[in-house]
Formats: sequence, C-alpha cells, structure tokens
Amino acid sequence: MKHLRSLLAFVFPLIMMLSSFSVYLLVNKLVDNYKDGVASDYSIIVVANKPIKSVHEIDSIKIQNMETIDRENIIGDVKDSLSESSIDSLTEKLPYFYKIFLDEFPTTDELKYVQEELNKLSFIKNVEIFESEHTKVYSLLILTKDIVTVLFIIVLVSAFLMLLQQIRIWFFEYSERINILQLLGASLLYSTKSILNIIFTSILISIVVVFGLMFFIITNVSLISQPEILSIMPTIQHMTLDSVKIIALAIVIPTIAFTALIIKHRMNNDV
Amino acid sequence: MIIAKDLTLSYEKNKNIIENTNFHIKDKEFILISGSSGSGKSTLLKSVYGNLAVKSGDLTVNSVDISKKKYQKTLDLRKNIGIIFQDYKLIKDYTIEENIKAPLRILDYDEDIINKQVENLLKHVRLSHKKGSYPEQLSGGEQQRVAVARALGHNPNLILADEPTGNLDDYSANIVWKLLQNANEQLGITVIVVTHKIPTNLGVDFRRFNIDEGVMYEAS
Repeated sequence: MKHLRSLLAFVFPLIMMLSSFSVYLLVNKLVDNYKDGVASDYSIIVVANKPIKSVHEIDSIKIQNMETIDRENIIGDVKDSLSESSIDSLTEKLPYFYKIFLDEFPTTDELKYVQEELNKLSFIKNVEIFESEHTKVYSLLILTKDIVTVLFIIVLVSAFLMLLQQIRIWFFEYSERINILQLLGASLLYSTKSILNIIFTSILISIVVVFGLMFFIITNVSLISQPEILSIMPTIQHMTLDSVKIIALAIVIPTIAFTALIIKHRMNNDV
Repeated sequence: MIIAKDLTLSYEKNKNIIENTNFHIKDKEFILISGSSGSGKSTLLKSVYGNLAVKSGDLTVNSVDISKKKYQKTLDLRKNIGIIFQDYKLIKDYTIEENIKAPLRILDYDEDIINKQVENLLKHVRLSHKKGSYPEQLSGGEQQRVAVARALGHNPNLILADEPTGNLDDYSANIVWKLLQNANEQLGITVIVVTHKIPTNLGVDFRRFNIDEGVMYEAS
C-alpha cells in the first residue's frame, strides 16, 4: 500500500505533465490543420509600375508564391467598348498586377504589416488586401494555443517540482541501502538502481495511460465535442511524431530530476 | 598494505581524534586495535575504507593514497576490501542470499559463479538453511555471520572489522572470531579488527595496537 502510494505520487504529476503536453500538441495540430484548410482564403493584390520578375525583389516579407494577373484578360474585359487607339493607350499605361501568397496564414496584424512593407517599395503603386472571416477564428485559435502553451509551462514546472520532491523522498527512504552499497564499492548510480527502476516503471505506466487517453479523445471526438471539429482533428497517424515527443518528455524530465538529485547527493555525501 | 605517516583525523576543525600517528601493516597480518570508548578506533578504520577524509599526513591502503582520495578511486579501493560492522549493515529488504551476493554483483561476476560462491559461503558460515530469510528474522550472531560471509565473498585482500563481536554473546562471538581467523590463515587475507574486548583464546598470531589520547602505538 505504501509502495503503491509513493508510486502514484510519482505517476500522477507525470500523467498531468504528459496530458497537458498532449493537449498542447493537439491544439498546435488543430491550429495547423485549420491554417492549412483556410490557407488560400485571403488575397493580397499588388499593383506595380514595372514588372516584378522575382519574389526576391520584395525581400522584406516572406512570400511563398506570386502569381501574375494577366493584363490581356483585364484589357479583354473592356476591349469591346474601346477604340483601337484607346486600347493602345490603356495597354501602355496599365500597371502590372500580382497576387501574393505568404508562407503562413496571416493574422490581421500580419496582413497590416505586409501592406505597410509593400507600400514602402517605390515600384509598388497600390496594395489591396481582402481578409476573410477566417481571420477572426484563426486569431481565436491562436489565443487558445497561447493559453494552452502557458498552462503547459505551468504544469511542466509544477510537475517537475513534484517529481523532484518524490525522488528526494525515495533517496531518503533508500538512504540506508544506498550507503551500504556504496560502502561495498558500488557507484552512486548502481546504489540507486531501485529508485531508477521505480522511475522507469512510473514512466511506462504514465505513457500507457496518456496514450490511452489520447487515443480515446481522437477516436471519439464527435462524442465529446462539436462534429464540425472533425474536419480539423488530427488522426492517429498524424500524431506519430507527437507520440515520440511525448515519450521523450516522459523520459527526459524525470531523468533531469534524478540527475539533479544524484549530483546534489554526491556533493553532500562524498562517498 | 597500509602505511600511515603523521596521520591526523578529525570530524571538527579544532578537535583531532587521531593525531600525528604512524604505523605500517603488512600483507597477511592479523591486527587488533584496541582502546577505550571514543578513543578513535572506528574513526581510524573509517579513514582506511575512505569514509573519512584525512586531515593531514599520508595514508596509503593497497597502494592507493587515501589522503588524496577521489570518488572513483575510493570505490575501487572498497572493491578489494571486506568490511564488517558492529551493527552488521545488512540490507533489510534483501534476503540473506541477496545480501551476500551484493558485492559480487557490484563487481559484475557471472551469475553462475555468484551462485556457487554464495552457496559455499553460506555453508562456511552454517546458514544454508536460512538463505531465503531476511536479516530481521535472524539473531544478532547469525546476522554477523552473514556480514562475515558478505565480506569474504569477493575474495578481498583486506578485511576491516569494526567491533564485530560488540553486540554478540560469547558463543556467537567465538564463531565470528573463528571465521576471521580462518580468513587470515587459510585465505591469507589481512585482517584488521577494532575491538575493546580481545579474546583470550585467539588461535592466530596477531599484532596489537592501542589508541590512547589520539595516538596509535603498538602494544607489546
């Protein structure tokens, strides 16, 4: 019972930490999926005095792609109502039109920044930006992502302190065994093998629980949330890399806590 | 084997327990160190197995300069030493068998060799029938025999015994003395025993040191 309680005292913060990390990763994935879904739902139209041969001429912003809007099409629309000489004059005076696509789906502020930067260029006459309503949803998602990130950091720090405290208790509980084994010539790492075994058992339990929860949420999202979210919900396959990150975090954080205490123990008890 | 030159040991800055002591212990000797309570017998032993830093002077054990001890060097030194304590220092949640196996496992012996060695040791200390028991299920005398078996298991060249019979009745004390005597005579292990009660019937040649007012000298 005592062992189970001390195991739970380690497993619980670890599960909290991994769960919040999973939520953090999931929200990131949701935002990315949403962003990909609405990626083309904005337009930046640039009107230039001269032809822009390459995106490198606009190096102040990150442009993914630039499409030339065909001038012939514009003239073609008004061709029938104009005389030959007027068409020639229009062709001569008509500026050059381009549609610009950015690397990432922009927020309202980013779009404003892009507009300002483009207006600074001497060969650009005008910049027109057409925002869609997605920007507001996207901003809300970004806010959610930021809140989840802050919460994750708080949980991470708290969990780390709780893990550190529990390992410290184990060091105290096993101090007699550690001292005896060291008197027999064992290294500190060897002497603390029992603690390491409990830590890795706890890690294993936590990973299984968190993966189980994650699997349940992803496969039953329609039961616990709005059906609309299904279109941007990542699949299990999409979470493969994230699963590796969760396992890595589950191993790294307790290992850091354990190593910190090993170093402290060694400094305080020089053999 | 052990050479001390102007050795001074202390726990506090201004109070020396052992002061400017010199001695030389050769291989395969049986040494008894006596002295009154608090004279520094156990302190001296602690410094020999690297559990207490040398304040000044030199102390060399198995050619390792303990006065300039380093963590790994101290652990390596202990791998060639068998230590027996007055309070046995057995691991409570290990069985008797596991306790004796501990130093062999630290030295990374093959598991088959460990099993054979432990079987022999248990026979030697007459505790084969209790190999699955835990230390708390054994009497003081039996626990100390386990401690002796553990100290002998990895074939050390030096055994340090700190009041090994201090908590034992005469019968158990005699068995422990016999085991230490055999270790010295049959296995050629150097044995250093700190004790305040020297047995009258010790059947082995020994040198006796006495510690008085922080200085160790050879008693005639």
